[in-house]
Amino acid sequence: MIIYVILVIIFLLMIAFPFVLSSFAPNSKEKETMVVASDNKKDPRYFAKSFRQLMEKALADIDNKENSEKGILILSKAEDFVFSEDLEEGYTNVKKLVVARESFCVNHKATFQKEIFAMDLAVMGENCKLRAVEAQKLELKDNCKVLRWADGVSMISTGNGCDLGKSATTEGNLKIGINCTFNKLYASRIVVGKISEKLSEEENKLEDSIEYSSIRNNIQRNIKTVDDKATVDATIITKHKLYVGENAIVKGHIKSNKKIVLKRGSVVYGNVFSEGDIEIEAGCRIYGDVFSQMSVFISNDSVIGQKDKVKSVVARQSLVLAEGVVIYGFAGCEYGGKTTYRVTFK
Amino acid sequence: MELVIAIMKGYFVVTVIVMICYAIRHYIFSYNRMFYKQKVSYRDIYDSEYPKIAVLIPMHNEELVVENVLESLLKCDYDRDKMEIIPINDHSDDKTGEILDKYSEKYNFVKVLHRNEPDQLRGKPVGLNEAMELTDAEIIIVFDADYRPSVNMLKKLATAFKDPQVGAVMGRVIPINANANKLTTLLNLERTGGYQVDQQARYNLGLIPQYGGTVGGFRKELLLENGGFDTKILAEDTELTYRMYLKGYTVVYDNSAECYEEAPETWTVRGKQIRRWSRGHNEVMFKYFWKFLFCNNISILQKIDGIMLLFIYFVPVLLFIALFDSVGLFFLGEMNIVGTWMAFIALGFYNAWGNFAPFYEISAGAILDGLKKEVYALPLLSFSFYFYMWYIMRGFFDALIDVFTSRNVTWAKTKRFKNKEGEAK
Repeated sequence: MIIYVILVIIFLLMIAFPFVLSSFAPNSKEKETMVVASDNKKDPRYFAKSFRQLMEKALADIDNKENSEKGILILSKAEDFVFSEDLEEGYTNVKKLVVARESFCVNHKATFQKEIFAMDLAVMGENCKLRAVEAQKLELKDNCKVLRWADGVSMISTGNGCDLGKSATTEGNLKIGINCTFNKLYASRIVVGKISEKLSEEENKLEDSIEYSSIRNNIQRNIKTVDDKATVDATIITKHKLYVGENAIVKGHIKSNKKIVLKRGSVVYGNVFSEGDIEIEAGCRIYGDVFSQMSVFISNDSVIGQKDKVKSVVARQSLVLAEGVVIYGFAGCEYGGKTTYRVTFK
Repeated sequence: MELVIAIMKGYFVVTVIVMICYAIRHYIFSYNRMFYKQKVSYRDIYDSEYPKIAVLIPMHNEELVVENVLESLLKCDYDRDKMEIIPINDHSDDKTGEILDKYSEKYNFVKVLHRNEPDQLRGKPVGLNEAMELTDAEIIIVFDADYRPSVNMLKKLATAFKDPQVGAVMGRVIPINANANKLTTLLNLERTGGYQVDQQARYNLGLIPQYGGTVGGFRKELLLENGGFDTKILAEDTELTYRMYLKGYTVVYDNSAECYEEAPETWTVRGKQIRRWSRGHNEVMFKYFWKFLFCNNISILQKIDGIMLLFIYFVPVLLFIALFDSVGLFFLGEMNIVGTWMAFIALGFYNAWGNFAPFYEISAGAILDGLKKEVYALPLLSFSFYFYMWYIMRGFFDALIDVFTSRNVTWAKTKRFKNKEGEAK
């Protein structure tokens, strides 16, 4: 009998155990509702703009305070800073935030452990390492390394072999060198290396933009190829690997559940979306966005987007841009992107 | 008697298999969300061109919250030339109509649809159908009246339609009153499992993310091609999901498109809500099961997921009967179905994993959302499980009657618990 009683007690204890644990759940007063950021706007230059705002406010306040003498700026917290003209001769390692009231040119290898804020042109010499930089105009010489972000309000130019960190952004033109790595790029016009004379001429010809409303929405399903020089007057949705032939024109969008290959000189009026890789061969023209859940490879002299409009190239994995590629707007990927003289397709 | 026992045993075995299938499904989703690579959301796309959208807000006696949703929408960063707001005033007898008219006078892109005729068919589907006829927008976005969309919500939702295969998009809802009482705590956990894990995993795996009827949008022409929403179906959102896939389009889920909703604060209100969902969902099951089974536009995995999703409000009915079945078999001394040990294993699946597998999704969701202490409340979900089972059963039989009688369904609004400022009463 005692055994049965013990068994019943054990049973009751075991069944009650989870509910005893549940008493540790937070009560109404302890709990907080999960926060939904209701005022966030989507802005690729968000960090740079926020930083500039903080800096401008802090610099405007600085004359009224003793902080200037102490070398402190009040941003989100107190930061040690130094004016660029006060940097020691031959500096190589700067541990303070640098404020440049005029042009700031670094002609030697140096490391900047804090941000750089330049009100005019900033030129970073070869092999410089910096945490983040905000300038009116920004030039990064060969092999510069940015840890977080680089922003130039009206333009950015980089040499070869640079690491552009999390993002490089500008409202103007972004000229990026070869063998550079990046995560996100944003500019009204992104150019990789030198663009060919042929492309310069063609790009001018193609300035007439494609209106969103004129893109064909009638659907052509599950095709595998578009012949060379053919014109498809529809949007293509396919579950197959899709090859768009040389100099072919697709007047709608393209979506494939597998890989998409745009052969040399093909043109797409709308967006190109794929669950697999997207390979864009030389001299292609895509007026819309390019989006892949895998990787995107864009070969020489291809143009994505349209002048005076923002379009995107987004890859979940890697993004490879060859010399002469032009993108109007945004380019981003999760695994890291790179620029190269020539793309090698798998 | 032998025949009866054989049927009971067969039913028991079938239920165990069904429960194991659902358990495996839940584990796959949890595992995917925790350890597998996640798909990129379309939110990463920056584009200066957006399609024209119409934001539809069905309303019935919403004077307490109508201004909140409209003010939130007016703050959105969507180009006003490409946006219309169409509140659907469905037979309100409070001041909802007056408030809406004031907004309509002030903003030319706010067009109110008043539905006041006494003999008019009522409800969300019919209201949405009429509102869609008022706009030339390409994309329809739907919010409930108590929602407060964030500034960039409309752009996030509209961006998904850059993909020509996307027929509908679904955002995430988060209970604003999760701290009101134990019920809302549990509902918060359920939502976490449902959205953070279930919906996102389905999106990752290319299965069938579900359009949820609010904080989401769809291509208007795809719906109007077949005469709009079926007014005899309560779950117009589930119906839209299946309709999209049957037409060769997809539904995508955007976990970042978050919006607050108000969760029911009393068990009575929650029970009614569950019964309505069950009724609507089962109506969709009756209508689309065979069509979906033989559809050529979808992959095998999508078909399996879609079928399991269709049956999600039928499984508790199966289980309810199975519980009595197993008790009967036990007292008849007929539990030795395939050997004692197999029976134990089956029972283990059937009563533990089968019933409580969703809790793994909820736990995974809670971890991803950073709800650490809330996980302690998980055991309490076993109570709501039986509560839901009862109301889902009732909803199922409502749906059965709907099918056999072809009666018109009436849409019952979920009771609001907040005042004008959005504070819980």
